[in-house]
Amino acid sequence: MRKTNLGGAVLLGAALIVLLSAIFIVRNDEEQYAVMTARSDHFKAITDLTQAALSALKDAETGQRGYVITSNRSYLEPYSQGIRDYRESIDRLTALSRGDTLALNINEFMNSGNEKIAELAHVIELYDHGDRAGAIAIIDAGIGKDLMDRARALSARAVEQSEMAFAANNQEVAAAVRIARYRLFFAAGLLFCLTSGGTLLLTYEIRRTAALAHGLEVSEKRYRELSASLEQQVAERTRHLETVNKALDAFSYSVSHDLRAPLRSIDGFSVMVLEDYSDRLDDAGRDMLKRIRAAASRMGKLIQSLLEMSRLSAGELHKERVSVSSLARSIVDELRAASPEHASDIRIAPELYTTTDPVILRVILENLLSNAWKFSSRNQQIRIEVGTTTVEGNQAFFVRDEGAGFDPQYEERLFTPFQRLHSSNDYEGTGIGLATVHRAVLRLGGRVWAESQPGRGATFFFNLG
Amino acid sequence: MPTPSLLLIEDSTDDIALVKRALVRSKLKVDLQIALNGHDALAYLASESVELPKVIFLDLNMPEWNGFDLLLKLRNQARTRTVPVVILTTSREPSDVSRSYILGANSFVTKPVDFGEFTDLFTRMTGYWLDINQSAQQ
Repeated sequence: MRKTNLGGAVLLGAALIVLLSAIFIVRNDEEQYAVMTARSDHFKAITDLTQAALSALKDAETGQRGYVITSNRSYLEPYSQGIRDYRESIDRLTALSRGDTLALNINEFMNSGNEKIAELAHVIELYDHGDRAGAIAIIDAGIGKDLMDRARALSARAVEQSEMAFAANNQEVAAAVRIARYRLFFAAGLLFCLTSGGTLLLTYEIRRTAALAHGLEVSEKRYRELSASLEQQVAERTRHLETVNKALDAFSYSVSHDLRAPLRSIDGFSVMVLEDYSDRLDDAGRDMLKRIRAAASRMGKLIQSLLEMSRLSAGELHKERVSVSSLARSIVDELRAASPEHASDIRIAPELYTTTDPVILRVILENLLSNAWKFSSRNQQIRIEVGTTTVEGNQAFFVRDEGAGFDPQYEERLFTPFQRLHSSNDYEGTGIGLATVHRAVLRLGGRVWAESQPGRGATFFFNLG
Repeated sequence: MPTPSLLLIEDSTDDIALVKRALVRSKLKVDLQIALNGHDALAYLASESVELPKVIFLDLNMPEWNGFDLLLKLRNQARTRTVPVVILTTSREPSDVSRSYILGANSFVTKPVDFGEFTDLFTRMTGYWLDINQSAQQ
């Protein structure tokens, strides 16, 4: 598109250049024409002056003859005038023809004219000194006539030469005018072609651009419609998801209500049987009832954990600046209070801060710390460390214990609900704690992972987005 | 002084049995009255011939009128407006807790699965409201 747009502009630009060149050439031609015209004038002037000089010569001769024949001095007046006219014409001719091709002819004419003038003056001199017979003899001898004929012939030649040059010059002028006309025709044709080509191209380009703009408009409209329908789809999906979420909420609600109520009956009536029928139960019977109670209790906790985990996904996040150190300390205090029989050495790095949702962070720390506590409970002293480290350029918190640890090949299973890497006979639990941690960390936009060797403790890391 | 009475509004016979046993285990001297639904409860409380209970234990999850409906009615009747009401439910929903207090409940108790814990909780809760009533009367 860009390339064709350039085409129209290039053609019109070329037209402009041609126009400017034509103007330049025409002006040049005008100058040349003026020079040629001046040359024509020059040749014309030479012709005229030559003829004027010859005519003045004739006048002078006529005056001389009249004087010599009539002795009337009044004839000397046209004679003198003829001489003056001749000299003036000759002076101008000499000036005009200097350096000219005609100069030679003019010179010849001038020399013969001068000779004639000398002859005329000589005759008048003789006459004036009283030698009338000598003067008339010279005239009769025809010397004057010869000189005059010669001057006439030479002037005719000069005139002929000058007229030929004049004609040749005129022919040159005509040729130049012809060429100029051709050039102008050519330039006009070229201009016409270039401007019409450029205009056509521009029109085409404008139409094309308009078509493209129209196409763009159409596709934009289509895009708008598409995005509107997408938005509608998203809105529908969102409504659907909201419905599903509400259904899940309702499900959670009924789980909390309806699943726990029968458990309470199971436990309560087991107690009543133990109390009311103890005399009819042997140890085995009592043990069975105790197992029933223990199972009911486990299931109660399981339901509670599931509920808490499902709650993690719901609701808005309320992020604020949280002291991780204080939060960890309060949880550890609760753990110590719950099992005061254990000796413990808990080290929490001071001044650990982050910006996150404190409720969800508490869920993470509670589960990690109670896990660390639980899996260290067989050690003589429970040792737990809470701190921060840098992993791949990001701050990561960690909870490290020296407890039972786990086989790293099962790390993936660690965060799956109901996956237990230890027998529930060894360590009680619902198998939901780490799944809850995983979900909570994800909810905060972070990642959780663990390192361990069996029997050498475990370290759980997490970062927050 | 007559034995103070306690009204349990509860539709589940299992839970009624549990409360009865808990009361026995608590060794408190209390006359336990039971209403299986809201209608019965209102009828009992409307009767001028019986003394008002010292405390009402109210279940939330009941057919027809649920606990909230009944609580609203109790708090809108002059006779029952000041009787302490303890919500005794399986729910732990924060929305249920706040709604109960907004409607005028005095306590909110989630029934634990473990019967030992249940007994302790019930005993302490009942004892508390009886003491409050007694000191108020003195």
